[in-house]
Amino acid sequence: MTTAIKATPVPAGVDWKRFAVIGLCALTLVVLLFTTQLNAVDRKTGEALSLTGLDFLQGNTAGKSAGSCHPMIIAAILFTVMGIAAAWFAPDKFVYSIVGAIFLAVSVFMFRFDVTYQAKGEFGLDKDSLFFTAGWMAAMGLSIINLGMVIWRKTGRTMDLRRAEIEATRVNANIRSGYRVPTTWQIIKRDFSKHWPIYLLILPTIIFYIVWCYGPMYGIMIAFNNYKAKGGITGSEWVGLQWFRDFFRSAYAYRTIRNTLLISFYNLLVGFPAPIILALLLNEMRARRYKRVVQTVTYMPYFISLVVMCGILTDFCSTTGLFGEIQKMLGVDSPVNLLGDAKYFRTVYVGSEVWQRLGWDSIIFLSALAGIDQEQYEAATIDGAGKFKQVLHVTLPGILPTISILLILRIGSLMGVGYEKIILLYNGLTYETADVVSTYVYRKGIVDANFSFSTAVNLFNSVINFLLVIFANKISALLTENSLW
Amino acid sequence: MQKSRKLMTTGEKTFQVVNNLIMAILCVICIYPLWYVLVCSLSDPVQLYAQRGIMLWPLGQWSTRGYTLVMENPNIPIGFRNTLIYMGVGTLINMFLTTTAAYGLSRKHCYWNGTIMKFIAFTMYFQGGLIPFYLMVKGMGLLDTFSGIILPVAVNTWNLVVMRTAFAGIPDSLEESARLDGANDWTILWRIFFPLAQATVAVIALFYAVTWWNNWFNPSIFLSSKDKYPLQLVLREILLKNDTSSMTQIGSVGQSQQEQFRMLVKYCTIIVATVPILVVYPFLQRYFVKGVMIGSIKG
Repeated sequence: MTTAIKATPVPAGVDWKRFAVIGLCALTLVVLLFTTQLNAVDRKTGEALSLTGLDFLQGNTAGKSAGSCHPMIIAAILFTVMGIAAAWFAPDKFVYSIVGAIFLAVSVFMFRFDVTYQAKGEFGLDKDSLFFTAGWMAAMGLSIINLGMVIWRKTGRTMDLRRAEIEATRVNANIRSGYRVPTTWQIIKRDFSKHWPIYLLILPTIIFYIVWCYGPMYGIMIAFNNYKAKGGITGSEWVGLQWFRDFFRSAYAYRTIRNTLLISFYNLLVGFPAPIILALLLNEMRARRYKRVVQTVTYMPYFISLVVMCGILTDFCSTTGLFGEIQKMLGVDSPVNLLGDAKYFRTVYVGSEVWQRLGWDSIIFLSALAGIDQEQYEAATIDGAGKFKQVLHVTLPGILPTISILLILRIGSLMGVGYEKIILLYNGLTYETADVVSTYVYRKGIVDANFSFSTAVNLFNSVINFLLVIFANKISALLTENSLW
Repeated sequence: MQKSRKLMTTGEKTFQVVNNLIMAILCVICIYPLWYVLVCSLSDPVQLYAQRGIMLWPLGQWSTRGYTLVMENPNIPIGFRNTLIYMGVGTLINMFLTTTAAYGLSRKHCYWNGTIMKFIAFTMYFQGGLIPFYLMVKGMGLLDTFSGIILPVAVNTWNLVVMRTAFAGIPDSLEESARLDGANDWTILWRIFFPLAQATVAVIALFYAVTWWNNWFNPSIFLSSKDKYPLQLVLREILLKNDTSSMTQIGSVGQSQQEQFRMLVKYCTIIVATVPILVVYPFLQRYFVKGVMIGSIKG
């Protein structure tokens, strides 16, 4: 038998198109920064101005918001840098390079649109005197060439790979040659004419995601400016990283981050093993009917809505409530209001969380337990293992994959303590231990209407969260060969 | 099972007894808070206010006075009505978008599906945040409207992924044979895939419905007129904000008894708002459990 020839990757050699992309990006960067982008006349003084990209970046423009740099130039520079990074580190990742190139072209174009039609007041320039110079045109031209280059290079490589694959298949299967390799464009066209009803079905959902998930992402821009309803998201005064500085210089940064981490940590410490233990105990129960009753009863708290749950808690925690009575029974003379004292907030929070989720979270471990092969227990019994040893050597290893993946997920959301429950439970007396990042965001944003500051804090939190998820997923992929994507 | 029972050693028997005892205690811990609330709601308000203690049975004369007061409060029926509207319309929209998109995305030979899926999955890990979201709703002019509550959460990514997995598990041969009979994607989806994935569809619908039932945060920031408040928000006013205007009817009680009745009304409100779901839940329990299981299998 002949050995099958595998589809070999595209022959090595200097991939000059890739370096052309990098070179083009670098050139665009230089042009964007150092050439004259705009010749204009100052509206007040009548003085002639010629502004380079660097001027826009530093905010050396005339007008009321002198000192604020222009977002579109920043966007353009970010995307050229992204283009270089994509071509350098992930040369075959089509999405990165093409997204970078498209956005670069769009930002350069938008820059002109923005300056001419929207920001002229901001820059204090006369509309009639605005003249975009060769620098702007060069930047625009370069970014379009860059886009073309990325597409050309990518399609070329795709075609090479496809040809190599088909050639290998042909040789292996002994089919005559002469099959025409379809281009990407042909594939896309054929796909669309065949599958358009399917895409039509997905379309409403795509629109939903664009409007309600990606739309707010665009709004993140206000974290870098001083949002005023009049100026809107793009037109407000640019303040750079001021809000982030303010946050980290305030005492709230330490307090909220500490509280977030501590609440998650305690919740993990108590709330993670408890359902596992419950599942193990349930698994050992012999009385079937009784077991089912226990399950139904322990799942039940999960179905009490959050608002009602917090209503019950505030009532119980008051000095005359159930917990107050229990304190009296234990011999405390003047019972404390558990929700009115910062010392107890975390205990109440974590305790109620465990009470509500204990049974529900055990379901997943119970199903993992049910998946363990019964023969393993029989073998262990024959080997003389007692019940305890069976749990240790058969049961626990059996559910270890489930445990580890759930644990990693929990670690990934360490900074993501939700605000809903805390908002309902905390008050001025307990801010010291109860105020987490997300509740601070809520208070600053919705209650105090300090939109930009709140968004900046939120952005910081989301970025950390995102990094944690990626990190947790990497670890999970390494350890358990299970990953989220 | 019978055989192993005979083989139990003394140690194992002790373990069984202790284990059953632990479970019994656990059950009491889970049930007692609700029992306490129920007992309080049926107690005599004056005695209840004077002393409560750890109660097992209603204090004094059984009284349903609190429930009458709750029923007289117009905000609660309005809340129930609004929640039903949000739940009905919301779940329908949720289900329509989720099923259509899940069907489309589960088709294997579409060129763009991988990209679209990445585009959707990204939103699970990174969001715009509270304020940009609020500004978006405000910018669309949806503040204080029913659509402003429903549209921004029209699809839940996690449910979409679960549904897509369910659809992907249906054999291709069914689709192919339907196509040979001249069915188009619309027909295939509703006549074949939807009925076949019935169990998952039920679970997802249930999850959406429960989310609507519990929904209070978005309404609390988007709504300003009380006649659009869902039940949970009305409950928050009564239970957590001690908002007297939500309990107008108490005004009919004598001035000195205000405080006592307010407490009674709280307990009654909790019962009224919790009983519907607790009554329904045991019957739907297996669907919920199933939902957790399919959710745990990676999408």
